[in-house]
Amino acid sequence: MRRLFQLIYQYRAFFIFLLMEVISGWLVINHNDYISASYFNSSSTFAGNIYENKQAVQDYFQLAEVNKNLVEENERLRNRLAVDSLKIDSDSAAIPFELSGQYEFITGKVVNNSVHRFRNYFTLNKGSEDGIEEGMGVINPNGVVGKIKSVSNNFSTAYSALHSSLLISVLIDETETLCTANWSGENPTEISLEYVPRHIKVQEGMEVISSGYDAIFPQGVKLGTVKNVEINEEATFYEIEVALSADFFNLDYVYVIGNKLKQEKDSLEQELQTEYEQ
Amino acid sequence: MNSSNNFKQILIWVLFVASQILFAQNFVLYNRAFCFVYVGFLLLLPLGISRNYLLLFAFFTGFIIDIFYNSLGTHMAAMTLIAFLRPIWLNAITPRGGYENVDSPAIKDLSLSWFLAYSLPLLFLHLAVVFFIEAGGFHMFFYVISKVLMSTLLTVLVLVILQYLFYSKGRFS
Repeated sequence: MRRLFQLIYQYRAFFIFLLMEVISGWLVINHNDYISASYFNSSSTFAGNIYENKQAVQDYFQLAEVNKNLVEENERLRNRLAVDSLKIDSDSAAIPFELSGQYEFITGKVVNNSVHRFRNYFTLNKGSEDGIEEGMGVINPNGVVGKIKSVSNNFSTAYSALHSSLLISVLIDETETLCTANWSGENPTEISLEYVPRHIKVQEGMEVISSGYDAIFPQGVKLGTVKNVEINEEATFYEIEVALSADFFNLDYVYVIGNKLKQEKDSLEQELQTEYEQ
Repeated sequence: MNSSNNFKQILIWVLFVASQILFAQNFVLYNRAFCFVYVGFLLLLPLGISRNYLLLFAFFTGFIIDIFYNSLGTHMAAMTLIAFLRPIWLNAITPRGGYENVDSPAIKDLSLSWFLAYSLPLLFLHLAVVFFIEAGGFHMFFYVISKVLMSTLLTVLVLVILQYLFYSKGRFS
């Protein structure tokens, strides 16, 4: 026993090294892909404050751009009001998701963002005190942006849509095909569509919107337009590239979407699932 | 090490980590070359430091960087690996005349070519670990390797420039 301790003491650097590698390996596997209230990421107060101060300096250089985006959004919403006000009264017309009352929108500001890594995240300056919860969807005026990963009191970290393990349930608008969007990890302006079967006639320029089936995004939020369609002779599914409509290089103000009926939907679906399993 | 030296090292640590988080993080060339300048702190630590402290510093630095990068564990693993290999690699490439009168493995005490031979393999290994963990496997091997190579070159370039600016003879000592 004594010799064992002697051995360990003699090679303590190596054993410390092993221990640390095991700890970090465990963290890599356990901590990264889960939605969890982890203190050790950029939504922590410490990191969030530093990022917010950094952004406060950068803000001055982006003012013109931010203003332009806000004006454009205002114009779009005004136009929509002018056109849609008649439709909303009639029973047959579909009510736009902003007005259905099922969703609430919380504005947040992106204080840190990355686009070049395989797993990209951004940090928002709003947290649980403002009503943000884990798993909520994040959009901006142009389209889908991401999904909240973890929340602290005043900050939250979100998966960017440019995250190689984030799957978004989407529809091809024209054909109403349900499929999945997932980022391949290379080009920050494109995202791939998976599971589009070959009998569907997909063409370039078709719009891709969120399906609403996952209760994260309301149905109809734009994701992008089909840019490139390919299919192999034997393959069952297309290989489709979609040009993202949100500009990820330039995220400023975003909306976090809370779905008031998510719990109800989830519990209903869970009930069904347990019934089937029995 | 005396206390003023310790204090100096802590200051250098803060500068390296802060510049990584505030500046170098956003400095990406051609979607390929990333700048991980904070590794320079570990590479430039004095030679006299004990292995155990080296490992602890590396582990802690990696942890702080991971918090800001949202990649808990990745930089910790890479930094610990480098900290473990640094003494071995330093032994392997001992310059003629040994390390007498050499305070830290920097350009001012040794030569530029020696520093490149010392830092390039270690940085390459560090970045390879970081990018392959991030990619979650080897399925994009050539894309990832190109990222690693470009980032290694960029980081070494930045470290060399930093040393000519701040570590030059008689500036700090």
